[in-house]
Amino acid sequence: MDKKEVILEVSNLKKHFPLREGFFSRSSRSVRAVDGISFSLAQKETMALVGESGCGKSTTAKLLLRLIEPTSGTIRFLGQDFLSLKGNDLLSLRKELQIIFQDTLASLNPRKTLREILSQPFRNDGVPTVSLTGKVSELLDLVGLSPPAVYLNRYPHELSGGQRQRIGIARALALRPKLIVADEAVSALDVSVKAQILNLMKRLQRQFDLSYLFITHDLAVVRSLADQVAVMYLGLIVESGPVRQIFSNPLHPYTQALLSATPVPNPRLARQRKRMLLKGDVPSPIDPPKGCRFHTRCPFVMSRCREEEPELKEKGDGLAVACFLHE
Amino acid sequence: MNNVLLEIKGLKTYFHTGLGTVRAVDGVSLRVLKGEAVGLVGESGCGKTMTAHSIMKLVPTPPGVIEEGELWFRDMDLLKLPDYDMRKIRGREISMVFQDPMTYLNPVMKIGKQIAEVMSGPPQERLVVGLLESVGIPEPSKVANQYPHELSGGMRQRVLIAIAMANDPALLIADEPTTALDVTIQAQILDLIKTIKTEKGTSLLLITHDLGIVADMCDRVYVMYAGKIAESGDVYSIFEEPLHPYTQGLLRSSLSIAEFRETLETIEGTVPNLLDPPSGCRFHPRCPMAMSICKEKEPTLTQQKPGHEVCCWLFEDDGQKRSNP
Repeated sequence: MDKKEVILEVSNLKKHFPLREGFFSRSSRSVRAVDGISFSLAQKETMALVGESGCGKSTTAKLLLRLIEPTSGTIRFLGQDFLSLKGNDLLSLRKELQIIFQDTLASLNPRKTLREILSQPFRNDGVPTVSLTGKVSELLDLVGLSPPAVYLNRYPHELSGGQRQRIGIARALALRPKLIVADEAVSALDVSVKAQILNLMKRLQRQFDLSYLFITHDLAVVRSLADQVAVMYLGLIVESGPVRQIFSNPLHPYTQALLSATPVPNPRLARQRKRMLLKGDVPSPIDPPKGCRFHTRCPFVMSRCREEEPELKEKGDGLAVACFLHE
Repeated sequence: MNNVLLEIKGLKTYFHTGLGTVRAVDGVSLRVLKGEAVGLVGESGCGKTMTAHSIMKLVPTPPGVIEEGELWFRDMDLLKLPDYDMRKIRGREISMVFQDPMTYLNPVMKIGKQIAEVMSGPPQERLVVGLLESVGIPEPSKVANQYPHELSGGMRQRVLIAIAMANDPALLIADEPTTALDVTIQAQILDLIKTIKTEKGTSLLLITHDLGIVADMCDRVYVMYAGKIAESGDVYSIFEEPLHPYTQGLLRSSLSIAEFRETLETIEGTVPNLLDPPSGCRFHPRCPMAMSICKEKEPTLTQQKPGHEVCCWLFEDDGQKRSNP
């Protein structure tokens, strides 16, 4: 993995949303949505960011695209300091970084035809109008909506959920980016359609040397798509490394719990395996627990976990874990 | 047949809309035995939820109408039951847990009051608190005085289960009870439903799109496609020897954390529009094994081995597998 060129490097990224409370909207407290995460992503690689709702994975996606500005930290993308870029420099680097959303009905303009929707990225890039239809048709073909002529003048609501997600992918692919951030891109789809879209994304990755940052809560999707995985809990990465290793031998108790809670479509396996049930709910990111943030739900909690915060430490083979059990 | 709790025969629930008739449930037969956990699986729009709503006679009318069929619960045909008697069944004999608890809880009524409301007899705080405790709610007496919005999604689902279990029903229908929840919370809720089932002997009809949940929870499974039952059998034969091409496709395209597949198998195309379903077998446009007869005639559900039924032309009445021309 080290030989591949690193295209994205995130270090100590933080986003705190101040809470408006009190008489004069003085804010003393804040939601610590992302609270110091670091990771890197190589070319042609897929990294999955997993975690439950409220762990900060979608905030991370927005930060990477600079849809919101971080509280602190750095993002290096294609060798440049992405956070300090402005104006045209920012626009030209942003072309290399696209996003696919979960809710296709919300992210595609209902009043525009597919031709208009898919022309927009090219227009933004200054492609002459005469060549647009050809380019859009090529895109539709690429994502398996062929013959393109059938689809060009349709509206998003005329398509099925799977077809709409294909449009979302086509739009992200238009300017041939290096990195695509997929925020729960297949979560709303039915089983059979989900597999179709994942196959499409894998094919496009090989064809265009894409890197994916896949944000999801679905570990089965991670297993079938990603090379690397980072598990988030309350704004922090608790474990990261190669998917194969983490799935066969998870070190962090939270990763273990996530894996054991994910249902497997195999009745014998499902009834044999030992379940690790976590107590309670995820605590609020406004006042995350002191010490290790997972200690309130951890079955292996020690007194040290309540006092000190464990750091994400390298364990070799690209594996890193933040837990005192593995010090 | 004394151990049959619920028996549905040829249920048809149609929706008469301005665009035409949507045959959401089109001849479904299904049986739940006492103490049994039955799964009803299928993709969105296949009629799973409408089957459940038909059992409770909660189909919005108009436009929905239960056109045909029999709904036997114990020795009563629910379809012939007057509304007054049906009200005594709902929430007492058969109760239901839904996907989105916020929609089914009253936002301006305290949790405790909502539970007391469904309990028969004079409301007793002690009973309400005990019920909340039995579904694993910490600090039950505090929660009884809270409003739904003050609780997390998992806690609200527990409250809904408490309401459903308040009168010790014989049958619990759970419609995607954990779809909106995070995995670790989903595991807690499924565990709770399992515990209730073993302790009280409640029968369970679990409606879900997640084959993993069915594999874990159910004794028998019905696979639904486009308003019809495609295949049914015990959980092991459905997962290990699926007969219907749709079941096979569904299983092959499901992702699992237990194995890695380079290319995922898929079922081509999408679920048909039930306003205008395909002729013959409704699965034929997507079926890799489709034959000419599949376009023309509808197959019937036939038994292949004891307890395993399939609705497919590949299987003749004598159980012989037809060759693919």
